[in-house]
Amino acid sequence: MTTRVDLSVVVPVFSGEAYLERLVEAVEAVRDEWEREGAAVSVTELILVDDAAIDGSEAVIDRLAAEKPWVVALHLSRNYGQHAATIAGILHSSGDWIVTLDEDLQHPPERIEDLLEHAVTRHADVVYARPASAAVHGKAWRDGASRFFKRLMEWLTGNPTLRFVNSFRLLRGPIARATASVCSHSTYFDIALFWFTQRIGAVEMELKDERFMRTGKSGYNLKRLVSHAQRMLFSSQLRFLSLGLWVGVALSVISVLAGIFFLIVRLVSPETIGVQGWTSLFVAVTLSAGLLSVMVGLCLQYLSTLVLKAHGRPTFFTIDRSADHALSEWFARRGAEGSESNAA
Amino acid sequence: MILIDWDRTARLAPGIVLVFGTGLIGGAAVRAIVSRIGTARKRHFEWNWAELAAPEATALEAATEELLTARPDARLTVIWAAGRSGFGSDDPAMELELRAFRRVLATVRRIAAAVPEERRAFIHVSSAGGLFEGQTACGPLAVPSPLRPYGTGKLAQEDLVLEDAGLGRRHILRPSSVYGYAPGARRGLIAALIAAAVRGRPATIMGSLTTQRDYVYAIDIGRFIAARTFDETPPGAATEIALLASARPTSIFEVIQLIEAHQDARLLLRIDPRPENARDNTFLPNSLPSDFTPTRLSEGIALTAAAMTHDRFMGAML
Repeated sequence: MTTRVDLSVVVPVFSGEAYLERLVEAVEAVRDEWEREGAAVSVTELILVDDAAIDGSEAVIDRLAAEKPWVVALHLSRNYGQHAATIAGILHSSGDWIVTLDEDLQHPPERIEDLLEHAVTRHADVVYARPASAAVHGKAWRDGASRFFKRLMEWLTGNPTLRFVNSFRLLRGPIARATASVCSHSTYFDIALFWFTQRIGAVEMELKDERFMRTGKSGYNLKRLVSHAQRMLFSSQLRFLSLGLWVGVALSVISVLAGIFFLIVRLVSPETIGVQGWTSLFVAVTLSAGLLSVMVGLCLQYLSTLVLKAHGRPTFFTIDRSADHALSEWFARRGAEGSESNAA
Repeated sequence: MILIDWDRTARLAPGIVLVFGTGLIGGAAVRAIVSRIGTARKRHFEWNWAELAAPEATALEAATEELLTARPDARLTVIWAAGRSGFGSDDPAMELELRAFRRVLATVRRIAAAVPEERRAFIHVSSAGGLFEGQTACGPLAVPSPLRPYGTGKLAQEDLVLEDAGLGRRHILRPSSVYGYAPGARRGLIAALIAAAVRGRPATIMGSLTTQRDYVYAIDIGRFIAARTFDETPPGAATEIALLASARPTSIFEVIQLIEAHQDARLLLRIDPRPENARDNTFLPNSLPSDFTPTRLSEGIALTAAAMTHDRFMGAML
């Protein structure tokens, strides 16, 4: 007997009135196709998270949920932002896999399968959709700023997967829910994911933010982008935090070695010292600076550990990936059947 | 078991309620009923769930008959929230429980004979976990498919209620994973973890950290049972079958996080590497009755912890 794998789709909604119906139809098409094919995976729920939408989305969501039992309506009490809405949706999901999508159809639901295939064949826990072309928003400054910031964060945090971060992602359910459950309002979800898994991949695909291109409007204004960046920064353990500590240690060692050297010089050949007093001053200043750096570095390290603890970084987490095998077999079987029918 | 009765009030007809099982759910139901009617009287009766001995049944029948004679217009509601079975129960244990349930139904039929059908009601507390074990995102069309004797036994009990129209208005309630605290009642995962946190002792997780369940607060179920008890709708043809869940899947990992955050303590855990009861079980919001409002898990944990801490200082939790 093949174990069926459940997939939940989570969509945060802020101003999606014009798109929701088509979005649900697109997800339903994927769901129906999988049902027809007797796939090893099935879309069991589509969770529409109404993040205090500013248009008529609330009523559309309720209508869709009433019409289709697999559509779940979730209304947040106020506008908490896309990040929090995504976390709320994930925490209400029950799928073995979870896909997060934007409301405006910039993320094609028919590509969910590609993300899933990548995940099960490579035993990844998170797979992001990676824009094939750099011009996602159609505006060089917007795309450039996004790329620059992600690279900068990669460098600062030492997390090599941040360049992949995208709101169209496939997540292993238990890992996504565990991550969501430790996230506070100031924790960056994708950074916290890295606390639970290093198996993060990406699939290239054409992604266009049509709404931004057409209307110039985006769910993100400058203020939100800055807050986004700030959250990313404060959820991470920055690499240079330990730099102060090691600079201090180096200065202290140098000052001690220099002190010993000059003491020997003073004892062995005092005539070589032209100016009296500078050596002791040099050693004292270097040692003080070194000790201060060590202390500041230690304080920063302690602080960073406490901040990460407050953010909920776990000591460990266990996961069962054994169900991937059945799904990857199904993908392989279907691929082989597809090749045969093409050849015929 | 507990016998509750009350005289006519401004809003309610006189009533008699027999509550079989006074654990977490039965106890919550009794409290919810009594708190609604300040003048309600409560009497405890000896009752052995496995052996409903004749003298006990006779005493119960006599007491109820006396009340019905004094108030011939009283409504009679029977609440079955008993049973000692659990997920690990085998076929003989479930058969024993089914026999006890049959005897209770026979007793109820004798007592209820004196009450017109439109004034009788029977509320049966079943188990969503047993019936839908291993099923996720269960919607209104989900079909019970028990995987072990516990679920099969619960389904057999439901069938007995469904077949017996003489019970009057019937409600079959299927609570998911119930949590809360009542002194002496069986403790579920949440109460056990809170107790471990309060006492600083290790707790054993008999599941995986990723196991998903739907935790529902016992007090919510008690209130729902009370609402159905006071419902004066005449019995229709259809028996109400209601899923009582929070419709919010929660992993054990998240429960641990919530309890640690609430208790501001690190839990000392031992996780069973070969759990026997680690299947997921979750429900969709559209499968709940429209008048059931579940408490948020974080609030329920806080309320449970408060009740347990109170009892710890009173000495009951030890």
